[in-house]
Amino acid sequence: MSQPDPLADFFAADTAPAVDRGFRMAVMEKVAARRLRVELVLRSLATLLLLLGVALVSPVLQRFAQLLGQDLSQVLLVMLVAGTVAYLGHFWLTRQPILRLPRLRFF
Amino acid sequence: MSSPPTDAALVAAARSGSDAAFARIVDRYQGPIRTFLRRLCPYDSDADDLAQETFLAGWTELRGLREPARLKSWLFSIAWRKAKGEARTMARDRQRDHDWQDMRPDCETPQTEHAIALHQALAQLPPDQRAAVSLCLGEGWTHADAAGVLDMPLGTVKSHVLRGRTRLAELLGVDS
Repeated sequence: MSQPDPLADFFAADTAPAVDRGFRMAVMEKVAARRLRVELVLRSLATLLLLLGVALVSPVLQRFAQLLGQDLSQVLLVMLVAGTVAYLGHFWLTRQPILRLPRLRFF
Repeated sequence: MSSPPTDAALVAAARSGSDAAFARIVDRYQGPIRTFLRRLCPYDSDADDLAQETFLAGWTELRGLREPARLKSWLFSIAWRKAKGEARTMARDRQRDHDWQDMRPDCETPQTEHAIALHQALAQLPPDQRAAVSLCLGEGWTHADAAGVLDMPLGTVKSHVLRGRTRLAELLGVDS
């Protein structure tokens, strides 16, 4: 029969708690903070790219609007206002946005 | 009664975005990781900070884990890298914090005489030796597994454990 390790008692007396909820919460808070930072950076970049794209195509859009003429532009304006009102009305009634940005998940 | 999920299952769920799965990983390994780091760091608060950083790095790098079944070894290797990286910083900050740490209540210090004696004895060992001893004698790892975690040759780990055991026994006044 093998003899017990005399150092084993010392190591057994020196262990951290098996499960510490406070520790787990601290880790998960840090995880959430890092995820938020990453998503903010990614969404900022996406917005920047979108604005850049709009700025690039805006001369084309302006020319297109001029070609459409005054009457059709007014129709488009009415449709835009009606669409916005419908969207806001739906959101007010259901509290659910029709358009939902996807969660950017890179980890 | 259902059996607890395997590490591979938890890793797969965490990779697909489940915070609950990652929290279970934290619960499963926080004890051994914190114990390991507490044996490497002079203060428990430093060790717990490093343990949190270890799990945060684990979450960030989870997609890079090639063998999910070896999650435990992988987390320990991150912890060891963190401990080595922070050792210099901690040594620099130690003097600055020394007085303040001494004034703190004893909630962070080991409670038993055995634990206090072990901490003091481990502090006498070089960091590599301390890590090898902590894994092989404290956590019951094989020399081969410890060599993988610590990124050291097998012979070096065996030598560290042998010398560390002898030195610890000498310092603690027990037969090796």
